[in-house]
Amino acid sequence: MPALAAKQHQDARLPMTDLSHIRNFAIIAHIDHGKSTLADRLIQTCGGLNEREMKEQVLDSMDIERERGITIKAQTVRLAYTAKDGRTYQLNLMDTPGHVDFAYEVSRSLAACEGSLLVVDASQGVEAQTLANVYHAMEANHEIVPVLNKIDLPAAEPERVQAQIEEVIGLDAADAVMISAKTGLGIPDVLEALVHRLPAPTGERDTPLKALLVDSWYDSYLGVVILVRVKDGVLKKGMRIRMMANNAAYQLDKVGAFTPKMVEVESLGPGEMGFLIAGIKTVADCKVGDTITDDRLPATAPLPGFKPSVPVVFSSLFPVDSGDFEQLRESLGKLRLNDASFQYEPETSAALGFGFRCGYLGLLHMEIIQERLEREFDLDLITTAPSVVYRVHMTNGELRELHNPVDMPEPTQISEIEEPWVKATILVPDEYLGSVLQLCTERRGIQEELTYVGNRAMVVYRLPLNEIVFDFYDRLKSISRGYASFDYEVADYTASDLVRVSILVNGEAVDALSFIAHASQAESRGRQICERLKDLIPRQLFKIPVQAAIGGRVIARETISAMRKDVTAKCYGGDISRKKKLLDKQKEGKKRMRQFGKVDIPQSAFIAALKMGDE
Amino acid sequence: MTQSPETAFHLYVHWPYCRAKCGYCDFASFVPKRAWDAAAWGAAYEADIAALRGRTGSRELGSVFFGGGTPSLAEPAVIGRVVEAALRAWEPRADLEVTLEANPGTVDKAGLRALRDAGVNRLSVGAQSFDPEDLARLGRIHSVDETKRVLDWAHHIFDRLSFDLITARPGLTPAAWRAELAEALEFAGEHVSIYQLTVEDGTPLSRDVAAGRVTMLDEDTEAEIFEDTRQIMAEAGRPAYEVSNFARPGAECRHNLAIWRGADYGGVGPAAHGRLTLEEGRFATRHAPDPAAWVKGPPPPRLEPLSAEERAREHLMMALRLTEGARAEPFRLRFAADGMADPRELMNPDALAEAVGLGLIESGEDGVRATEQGVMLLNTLTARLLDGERTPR
Repeated sequence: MPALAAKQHQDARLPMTDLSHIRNFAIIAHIDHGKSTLADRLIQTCGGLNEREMKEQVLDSMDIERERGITIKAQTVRLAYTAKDGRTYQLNLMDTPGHVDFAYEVSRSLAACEGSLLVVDASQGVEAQTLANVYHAMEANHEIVPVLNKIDLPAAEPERVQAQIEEVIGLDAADAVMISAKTGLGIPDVLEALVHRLPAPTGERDTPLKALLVDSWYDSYLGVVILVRVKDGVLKKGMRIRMMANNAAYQLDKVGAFTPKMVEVESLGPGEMGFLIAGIKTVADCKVGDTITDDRLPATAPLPGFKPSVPVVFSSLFPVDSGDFEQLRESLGKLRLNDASFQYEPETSAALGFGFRCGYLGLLHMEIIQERLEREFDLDLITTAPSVVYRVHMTNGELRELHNPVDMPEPTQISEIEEPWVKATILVPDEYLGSVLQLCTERRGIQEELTYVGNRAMVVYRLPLNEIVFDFYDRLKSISRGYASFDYEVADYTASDLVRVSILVNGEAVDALSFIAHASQAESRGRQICERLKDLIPRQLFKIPVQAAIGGRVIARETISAMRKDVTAKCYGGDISRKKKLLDKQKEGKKRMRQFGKVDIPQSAFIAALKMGDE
Repeated sequence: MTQSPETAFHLYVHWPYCRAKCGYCDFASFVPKRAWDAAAWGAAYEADIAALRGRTGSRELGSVFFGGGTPSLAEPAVIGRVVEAALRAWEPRADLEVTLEANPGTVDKAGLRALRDAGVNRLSVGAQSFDPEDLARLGRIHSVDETKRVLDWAHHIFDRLSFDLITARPGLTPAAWRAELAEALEFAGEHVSIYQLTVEDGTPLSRDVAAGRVTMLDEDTEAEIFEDTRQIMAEAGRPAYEVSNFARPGAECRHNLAIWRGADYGGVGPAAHGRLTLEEGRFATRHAPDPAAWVKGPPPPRLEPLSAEERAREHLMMALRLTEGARAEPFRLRFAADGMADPRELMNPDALAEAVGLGLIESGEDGVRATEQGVMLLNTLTARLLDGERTPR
């Protein structure tokens, strides 16, 4: 095969002017159902990489992506496939992010394709996350080809899973392709199905350029690399392009495709996918879903579906060592170079010092950012509890978006507060259904749907996002022993009885610990924090109250009794140095203290209090 | 105490050897591998004293204190040579105090007499506990009976007698401690030092605590023992004059009291520390700890310059542990030349006002002192009071 592979590789560079020879497709799968293995196998079969170059799961290039088995950035691979009909096709594989946090990014990736492979583990069946993405694909008018993977495993039940796909998704699974991505079984059938079952793209060559900006990333050698799908017109090296969202224009330096190696081409025509490089310094200028056009001959209207990305979850980041603040600022700047959806602005906290209030697309996005800061930039961080964006209607008619509980206006100035709600889909084995329903009810959920698929239940709930960011996923996992799968999408804003709970130590509010909660839960959560702080704050010279309060009304109270004895009755004799060492130790400890009025609270107490919040 | 001992100079003599190392001890002490050469040690002390005299010049000598280690292991002849050398080097006051720390397991009646004849006029006996089991657990080499016998002899041989006790031992109840202290007082002289067992890094005790083999007393029990001790000692006519030191009025340890009041002291012997005010400035002095190197001919101590402010802060740390507190007038006399006219200038005014308001500190014309309640919280108080910058009044 080596000779043929080399020839096909050559073909991948050639422009494909005949649209009927192009197929653009995405792969939809739940984590561990075999998406990456299948992608690897397709690349290998079409000769995109030889054995030596083949690294496991070539698509996920970031460490975190590889470790967690998730995709954060979209990527494409152009493959040359000579089908059984003797014709050579250009197959463009779109690897999309697979997580709810990146739902918009997923929708844009899917909008760049005409079809999808729906990969389902033949023993596990359909999962909640698969479901959400398959609906996205349907919305994008995709032709969907079901693929049952791992059929070589003894536990495989292809018929049951086929029935499930038909029942749950409403998709004809009679012609599902049976494969084992691991052994290579059925891979030729997948390639043939792509050619024969997926529609070719459509598009006009001789009209003004319209290219969909699918994603972008920062490369330290090349600058910003943009992933595009050309809809109409031709993207040619040397031309001047214009971003339609902000009208910024750039000289196009390079056009190319991934095979998956980066290969330069002269142009990208209608139906084709690839990359462009145009001397752009920051990804913030490259908005996912934007339309790229010809600066000299611009299109009259952009492609539909563009919307700027909006953070839905916020939290604050503080360096454990206040000396690391500048480094944190620099690191955030570097991360933002490659992730425009992530926002930050400086924040000062009496409890935690200088830091940043950060906005993320979701909880996973938040975790990824924090993990990258700690891992790649070697920072020790304190993270406050995540909070959602509230809409506060003021009595004077003003509407405020609240990103931080600290900024909550006085209750008397508020006429109404709205909070974001989500539509959550949970698939869970029958025996855990009771606990799951109870959890959803505790979290103010409203049931919308309950159906059975074999021995699994699928429930759809409306839930406040606020309840989800508060350890919902961990609880769900633990009550279902890890068997429940869960996905959600932000649905709408609804007015709610919400209050800001302040935590007061010796009468002084501790900003970092204040939170917004539904009135029905304010007391129990406030009490919980007071009880924790009672154990975490060392005794002081006098007794101090720890209170939770809504406005001026105290809803929970604990008391830290006064220190009784703190004197070292030791023999210092003539040796002053010993006593001095002790005092220096105490002073060193005091440096890590934060002063609240007359009370010194070690920073470690705040960190512990915040950490316990996500247990 | 009408005479101020603060103007005099004081000499600390460190003897580094012990027969066995106690599990709680983190002092510079060693168990020697073979017998030491008494003549060499005598000569080394003489040389160290001569060198120190060279730095201090002529000074009035208020006290000599033999600490360790176990200085009662040293031959009385060695002690005698040190006392004589000190008397030659400086101008001894008429009431010169010469204290020696003695382990009851290392001395007999004749030995005590020999120490007295060598010039020791105050004996401090390391009794540590009157409970036989706890005494063994502390790793002491003597029995309670030996302690009692040595104290009986010492009463006849020395005018001034003190002993040390260690309280707040694991498992100790306040009731058991009150009984033990009552028994100990039957043997007491003018002075008693009572320490609370403290876990120091690197000691076998700290390893036992870390491994969970030993549990130290909780804060409330320690507090009760501390309060009881102060009350019992006051009723026994020996009120606390420092956190862990109790004496009949006028019978305080002059050596330690002087140092806590901020006086100069020189250190001789391995690992000995000192504080010297010389023409060139104020210094902290420190000898290297290795006995073998020191006895070959004492290398000069390290002299670290101390600013007047550092020295004043050190002084306040110790002075706040005294019942009399940090006295304004002696402080002014000692530090006014360096621009510090009152101890309160070094104290955080907010912390001081707070402590006074809480009834933990008294601040008046004559100075600043911890109240009976304040003594209990002195570590935190001192840290808060001495935190921050100078604020001239």
